[in-house]
Formats: sequence, C-alpha cells, structure tokens
Amino acid sequence: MEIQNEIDEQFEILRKNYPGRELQITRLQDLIGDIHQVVPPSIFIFGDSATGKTSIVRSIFSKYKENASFINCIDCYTPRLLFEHCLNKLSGYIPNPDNLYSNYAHCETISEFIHFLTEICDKNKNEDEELTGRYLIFDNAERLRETNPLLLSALLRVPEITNLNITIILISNIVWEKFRSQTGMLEPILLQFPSYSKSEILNIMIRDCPKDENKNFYYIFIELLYDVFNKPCRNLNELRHMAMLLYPKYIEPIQEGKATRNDTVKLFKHIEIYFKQALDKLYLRNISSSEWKNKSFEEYVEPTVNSDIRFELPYYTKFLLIASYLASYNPPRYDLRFFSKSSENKRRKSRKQEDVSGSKKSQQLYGPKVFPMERMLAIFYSIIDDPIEGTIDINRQIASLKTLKLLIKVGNTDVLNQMKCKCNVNYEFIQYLSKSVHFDISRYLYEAV
Amino acid sequence: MLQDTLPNINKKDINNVKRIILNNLTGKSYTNKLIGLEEQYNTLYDICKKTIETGESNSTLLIGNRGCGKTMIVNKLLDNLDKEYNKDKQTFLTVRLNGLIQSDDRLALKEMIYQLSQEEAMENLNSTSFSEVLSYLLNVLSIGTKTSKPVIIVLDEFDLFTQHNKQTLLYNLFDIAQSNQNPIVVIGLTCQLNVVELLEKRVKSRYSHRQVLCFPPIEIEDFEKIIINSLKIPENNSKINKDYIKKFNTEVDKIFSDESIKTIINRLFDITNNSRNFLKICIEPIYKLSVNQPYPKVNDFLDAYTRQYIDSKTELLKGTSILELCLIIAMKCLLEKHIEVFNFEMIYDEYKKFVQKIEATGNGREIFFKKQVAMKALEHLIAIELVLPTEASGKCPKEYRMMKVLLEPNQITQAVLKHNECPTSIKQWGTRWL
Repeated sequence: MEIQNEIDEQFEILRKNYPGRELQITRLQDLIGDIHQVVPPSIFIFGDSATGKTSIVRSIFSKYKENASFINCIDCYTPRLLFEHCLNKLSGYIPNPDNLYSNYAHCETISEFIHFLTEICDKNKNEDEELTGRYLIFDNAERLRETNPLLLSALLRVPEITNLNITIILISNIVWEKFRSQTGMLEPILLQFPSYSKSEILNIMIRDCPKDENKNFYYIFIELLYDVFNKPCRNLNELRHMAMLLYPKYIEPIQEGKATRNDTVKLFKHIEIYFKQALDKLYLRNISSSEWKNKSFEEYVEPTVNSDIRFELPYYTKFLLIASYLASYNPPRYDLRFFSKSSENKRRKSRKQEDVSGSKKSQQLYGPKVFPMERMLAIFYSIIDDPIEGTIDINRQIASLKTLKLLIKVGNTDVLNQMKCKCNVNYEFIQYLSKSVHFDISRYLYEAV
Repeated sequence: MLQDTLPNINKKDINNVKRIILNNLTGKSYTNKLIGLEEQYNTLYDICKKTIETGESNSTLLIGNRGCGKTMIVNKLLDNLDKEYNKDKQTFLTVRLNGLIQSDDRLALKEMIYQLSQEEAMENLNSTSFSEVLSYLLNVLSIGTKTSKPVIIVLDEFDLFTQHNKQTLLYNLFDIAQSNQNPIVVIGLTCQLNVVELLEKRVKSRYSHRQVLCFPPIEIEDFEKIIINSLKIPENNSKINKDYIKKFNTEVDKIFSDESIKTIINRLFDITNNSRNFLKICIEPIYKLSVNQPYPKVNDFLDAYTRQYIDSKTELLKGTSILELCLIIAMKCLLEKHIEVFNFEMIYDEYKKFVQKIEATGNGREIFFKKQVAMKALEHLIAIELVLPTEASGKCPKEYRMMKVLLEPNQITQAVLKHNECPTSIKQWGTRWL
C-alpha cells in the first residue's frame, strides 16, 4: 500500500503545481490513480505542444516504481529498442558496466515481447493475489506509425491478448484520427489537454517571478509581453523563454535609476524597442541567448540590415547563382528582352499585368522552374560586365554550387553540359548576394517580388 | 422511506463492483451471457465436442464485424470446454495465435511449439531454422492417430495469416485437419468477408468451407441489452452487499431509460453497431464511483460522450495563435479558388492580400508578420499534421514546397467561430463564403 500513498500524494502536489490542468489531472487520477484496480486497456492523451502532457504524465508515473515504463518514441526508434527498454524498466533491470550494458532480454518481435512481459508480470505477482496495474507509456506516439504499420494495432491489443492488467498510454500532439490506418485498431479512451487560455498562461508565467520581485509588478510585465506576442505565438515554452530574456531589459531603467517601478509608461517605451527585435531575433532563434544579453542598447536601435545572412562565395560564382536564379524564375521567352545586348535600347523591363481573374496564381508563386545549363550560361555571360578571363573554370564552380545544394539537379544525367537544374535559394538570399556584387536584380526579374 | 436509506456500502464493495464491471467493459471476463450469438456458439461447441470426444478433425472460419463478439465466443467456448473436459489439463490442448502478433510463419510456429510445450513435455526448440521447426511440428502433429490428444488451434485475425509467404502454415494446418492424422480443430477469426478468396488454391481445397457468420446486433434493443448487461452486477455475487447490488442494478436501468442517454445510443447505433464504441463511454463514469457516489450518474455518461466524440481537429485549432489561424483561413481561400495543392508563398500571398484589404480599418499592421515568422507558424501546423507536405523536402526552397490542408472548409469555419481571441475582422474573413 506504500506506493498507493505516494501516488495519492503526488496527485495532490501536481494539482498545485499545474494551474489550469486540474480537470485533466483529476480525470487521470480517476482512470489510473488506483494501482490495485483494473486498468483501462488504453488511453490516448493528446493536445498541442506545451500543454503539460508529458510533464504531468511523467511526474505521475515517477511514483509507480517498476510498474510503469515511460518510453519516448523518438529515443526508441526501432521496435527492438522500444521493447527492450520497456522490459528493462518493468523488470527493474539497469544496464551497467557489471552486466556489460546488456538488456533484460534480446527481444525483436512483439511475439517475444509478450512472452517476456508475461514472465515479468508473473514473477512479481503478489502472494495475496492482489491486482497490480502495469503501465506502458509511449511519448511522441506518432512515431510508432513510422516503423511497422501493424505495431500500433498490436500494442493496443496487448492487454487483450495477454489478459494481464496492463494499460497502454499514448501521448501525442496529433489527433487520434491520424493513427487509424490499419486493421485491428482498438479505440483508446481519449483525454484531451486543451491549449491554455490567457489567464491560465499568465497564472503559470507568474510562477517564474524572481523571488525578490513584487508579484504585481511582474504581472504587468508578463501581461504586456503576452499581449505583444500572443498573435504569432501562443506556445507557453516560447513565451517563457522570451520573458526570461526580456525581463532584465525591462528593469534596466530601474536599476540605472532612471525610472521607478510605478512608471509603467516609461518602462513600456523603453522595452518597446526590444519587443520589436525579439520577434525577429529571439523567436526565430537568429541569435543565441547569450548574444542577446550582451548586446548594447544602440545595437538594438539600429540593427544592421540583413545581418542574419552571412555567406560568402567567389565573385563569379555569385554571378552564376544569380544567373541560375533568373533562369529559374523568368520565363524563357522573355530572355531576349531582358538579356539581349544588341537591343539595348529596347524596353528592358516589362511587367505582366496583374491577373485580374484571381483564380490563377502568378507563376512566381509556384517556385523555381527547371532550366537547361546552356540557358543559364547564356544569361551568366550576358549579366557579367567584363568578358571573363579564360582561367576560370566555370564548370567546377557549377559543380561546387551543386554540392552546396544551392543548385539542385533534376534528372539523371551527370554530364554538366546536359544537366538540368533548379535554383534552390530564396529571394532574400539572392538579393543580399546581388547587393554584394552591386547588381540590381530587380531590373531583370520578370515579376517583381 | 426505508428504500432511500443507503445500504451499508464500504470501500471494498465499491472496488469489487468496479472490478466486475470494468472487466466486462474491457472484455477481460467472459462470464456474461451472449446476446444474439447463441446459435454460433452452439455450432462451434458441437464441432469442438466432436473433435474432443471422437477425434474428428475440422476447420472452420468465424466471420463477423469488428466488435460483434467473435473473440468473446471463442473465449467462452474454451473456458467452458476447459471446465467440462479439461479439469486435469490432460484431455485436449489449445493453441492461440494472433495475426497481429505472429506476423510471419516462423514466429507462428515458434509460438505454437511454445504453447504446446507449456502443457506437454515437448522439446522446446531454440531458434532453429524454419524448415526444422516445421518438420518437427508436423511430426508431432502427424504421428498421432485418432486417439491422440486433440488440439484446438485458434487463429485470430485470420486474414493476416493469409498474407504470409506461400501460406505454408495454413496449408499444413488444413492438411492435417483434412487427412486422418492427429485430431485438430482450426478456428479462424476474421472480419474480412471475402477471406476465402484470399486463400491459395491448394490451401482452399483443403479447407472444409465451413463458415460461421456472426452479426452485430441488428435491433437497437439488442444493442441496448448488450450494454446494460455489461453494466450490471450478477445478483448471485456473494462478496458484495446484496442491497447494494440491487440498488445498483436498478440505478443502471434508470440511467438507460433517460431520454438523453437514449438519444446518444440511437445516434451511435446509426453510425456503428459496434457495442465497443458505447462501452468506451461507460468506462469513465464507472471509474468515478466512490463511497460518496456509489451509483453512476446520467451526467457522467453525457460528459464522457461529448469528450470521446468531439471533433478533435476543431478542438486543436481552437488553441492556435492568430497567425496560424490566418494561415489556415488563407488556405481555405485557396481551396475556394480550386487550388488544392499550394505552397507557402501562395498562402502568404493570400494572407498579405487580406491584410492589405483591412489596412484601411487600421488594425492590419497588428496581425501582419514577416515571412520567417509566418514560416515558423506554418511549420508548427505541419508538425501537428493539419497540413501535409506532398513533396519531399530538399527538392526546392522550403517556401515552395507543395502541401495540402487536411481540414474541411467547414471545420475551418467552425474553428474560427469557436476561437476565443479572434478579432472580428478575421472572423469575417474566415466565415465568408464565396
């Protein structure tokens, strides 16, 4: 009965530690809280990322000792790893140097797995014939679909086939409909972890408040943060990450003595600049957290343009890439108009009229088109200013662009001259590149981006 | 008011009640009466009886929908036969295989030998070649005469066994059943009606063509009876307080005479007559029983129903951010233009157009985000599989990777309406019909 007491305690603690999840925790307790009861055959826990699924389930089962095995399906990516880890945990077997890091048993198929499972459960049976539940938990369960399509159906049948008191718990951020594919799937009990509401998010974030800080003051800050960032991102983990990095900036004026805690407006004005930057830099992880901390105030106010693209290529290789971009995004029939040197006086730029019907999308949006090598080379020779020196090996440059995956080969031939390619860079990148060689790419593009 | 005084209920009673009902609900006990399946049961029983008593071999298939009680019949059958003939485990042997678990013939053979050797002093072969195991097993099964010990072989998910290479296992089993060797009964369970056509010619000719068809409940009364039956406690249970059992059973009857429960049963019955679907709803209310609340409540059932049968995609969408919602609405706009497959650039273009349109009202800036931010939002949508890329990655820049949305326009509209923090302008955009 000792384990049972610990479990009950754990549920109480969890209810306190996870505001907004009380309902889910109670439902879990109803279903699996009593270790000496008949367990449900299978439970499917789902919900968006950062809604507390894994962390709640993990902390519940940390108290179940050897009766539960918590497996992350990303770690255990083959059936064998999955089975062997399960068996190790249920039997309390720990691979260590003394046993040469071996496993409880060598187990590759579900058939063997069932044998070993029965073996373990029989061994640990109480003398007084008391029921004990066993819990197999699979986190990131969507990965189970990848290996063997029948694996999931078979796993869900394990309680039925073995007739043991076992429950299968699947955790995933994908809805159950996507799991139903093969024959023989038993329907699990669904348990949803809905996304947090605004007040719940704020309630959780207030728990991160520094010890020496006034709760109300911190609350104003996180509410401000939430209102700014909730449009693009409601992921709690992201919000907490940003709160952690932005808070020191928020209280900077107070530490420097320029403002007091009551100057909400002043503080807001100060932090606004950081907020603007945070979305680009922090949210997209363009700079590391330590970089962010060490940057001076001036750097935030005047950020260098396109500073996040850092890439260097030889001069002519850049032009090769630009040429291939043009070849990929311009229709061939307009080549003459754009690149012909003899008809310099002709109208160079011609932009197609916007499609009024609206039902057809502009071709630009469909992405890069395939082009033959000769066409790209023709464009290349047309856009470079001076005639090229003979020593440069163009083909080698093309090959290296291909290795860098900036060009993608289409088709089978390996002969460079006959090859067909696609350009694999986006507009921002090519713009940055053409700027570095003082080339105005927009003049040559059929459709402006 | 003697009736209303609570019978003396203690925790043990509750636990026992829970255990009995949960075993029923999860199919772990087979003491319950079969409803509408008596005939099938009797046919199978006769076949097995003949084998056990007179050594007559046979093969049969039990075909029926999912959840109509095939496994239950077999479980009950084996249970009863065990009680009748096999008290000392000496009269006959049983082997149970499942197509999901024993995914090829080699595993199936090993499992057969394992199960046989549990009861018989048989040599347990450790990982020998397939042919060796097969010949060993055939030897064991074929040296016997009519007087040898009969073997009952149950093949669950029979259709999966037909996919095994050359159907060697089935061929040999049916062959033994047909020729006068060791008496065996082969019972195949499947939900595939055309399963006989899946058999190879040589296998088919050895199969006795005996089929037992199971039907799910056709009348709603039967459906209801199955459900109520599994929620009741047998009156003769001596462990539990008698008054409590009585009261409990009448409460269960009361619940199922409730109008709202009746509508749920009707609705579910129209969708599927697999009783498992309703039993799934019953699990949670039963788990909720406690000393303070010893009887199930109608509301618990209704709650469980709404939880188990919500549209989970719409639920998932409710929690998305405004930007993600905008992208999904943009996809809906593309769908309305009959563009079924699209890439990020097209979605973003559609989104940009919308923002430009509402710019005049002044709140366009607020919901407009850079491409990279939108890309991150889209990647999240791909991760939760609301959007599915149709092209392998790395073939072109990721902005141009083609994808399709896995939601109905209707679901999108619903999600927009149910979203908590959605501004009115977006609501209008999302619910507009062309």
